[in-house]
Amino acid sequence: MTLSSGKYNYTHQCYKLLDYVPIGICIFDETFELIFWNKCLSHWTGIAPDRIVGKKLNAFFAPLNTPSFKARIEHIFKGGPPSIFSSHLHGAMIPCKLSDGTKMVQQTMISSIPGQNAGTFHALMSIKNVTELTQKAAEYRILKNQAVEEVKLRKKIEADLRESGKKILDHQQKIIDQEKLKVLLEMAGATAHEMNQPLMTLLGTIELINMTDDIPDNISSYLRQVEKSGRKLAEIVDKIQKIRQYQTKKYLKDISIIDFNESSV
Amino acid sequence: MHISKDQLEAIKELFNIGVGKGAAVLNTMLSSHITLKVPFIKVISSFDFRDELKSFTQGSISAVELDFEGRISGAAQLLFPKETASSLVAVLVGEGEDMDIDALRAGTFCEVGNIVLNGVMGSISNMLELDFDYSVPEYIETNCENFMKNRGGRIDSHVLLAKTRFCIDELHIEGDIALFMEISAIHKLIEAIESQL
Repeated sequence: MTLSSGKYNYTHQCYKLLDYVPIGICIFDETFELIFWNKCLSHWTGIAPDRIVGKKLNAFFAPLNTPSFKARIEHIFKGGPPSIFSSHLHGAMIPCKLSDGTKMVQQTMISSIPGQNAGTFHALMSIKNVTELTQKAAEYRILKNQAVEEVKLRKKIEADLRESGKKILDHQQKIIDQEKLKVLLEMAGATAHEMNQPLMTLLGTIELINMTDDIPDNISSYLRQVEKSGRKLAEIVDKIQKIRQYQTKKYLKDISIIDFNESSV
Repeated sequence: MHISKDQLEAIKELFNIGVGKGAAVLNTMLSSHITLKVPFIKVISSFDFRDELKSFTQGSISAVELDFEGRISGAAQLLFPKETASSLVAVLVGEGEDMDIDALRAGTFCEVGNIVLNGVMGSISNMLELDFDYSVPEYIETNCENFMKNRGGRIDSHVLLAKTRFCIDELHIEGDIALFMEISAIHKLIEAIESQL
């Protein structure tokens, strides 16, 4: 029976509207006999309707012969729910090549439609070309992964910069502390040296006065106080001489002073 | 509405047969081994279902919906938190842990949902001798609030909710199969079950 003969001519007229959609559509019965083949599929496959309508669709396209495919669509001929064949999990049902020679990626749905006889159902296979979408999704994923890697790298660089900044500040602080200590030691050395000479003179003179007879009692008492203070000064000078580190203590509200006890060894 | 324990057991049996068929189909298609189980089932109002969804996830929901019409009309859905749906698709397509669901991944998830829901609806249709007209399966991604708003939230709308456990290799995933029906439709379903018991 040819396409122009009564049966297929009638069905072609019924489904003619499907020739105007940009989706590959074909209709076949339970025996896989093709009833309708739209212009889009004709264009994609290069198979004109008069070469394929009325013939077994699975004789042309091997993927339709697999047991798993047949199991997925057997309920269609009983009026069951549509079956989806996604591009991720299946190859093309009707393999086609694009103009650049690459394989078309397809997303297919098979729905049940009423047949010509009451109580019978046919399968309407609609195929969407998702090649471009697949390429775009793959490109998007590559770009997204690159962006994620760049963000990771940027975060690592920021963390490294923060760490380096902290190290520089620590190093600067160490240099400042060393400079302070250097100045302190120079000051302490000079102070001790300059104060020692008059202090020795002071204490020696007090000793000489103490050896003198007939010192009035009240003068002797003053002299003891002077000697005590002199010895206290000698202790302070001794501590200044032993300063080896920079330690301060609170003096007034916002002012700190060198702590001789903590700074001297 | 009151449903006896025996009636619920019968519905659960229908669902288990359906998801079993779905698992068999998935196992012939995929390299990973999948088992599907329905540990429990309940009938709740659409308002209670909203709370159920909120406890299910605070984020987005990924669902596949299959509307059906006939003596009993309603909508069957397979629902997952979006992250779970992403993990499921990632395992099935072997593309690693990418949480995006683009149009192609939505198509893959839609196919998985389609297989499971076809199993369940086929089981209901065959065992209870009911014929349905089906719409095209659709992928839905939204949050809990919008999900219920889009369903209209009719007062007499009820949900036959079946907890569904997917075990795929080391991945254990839980989702829900929900049949949205009006009370009268649930009564008709129970009548159909009673006539077969």
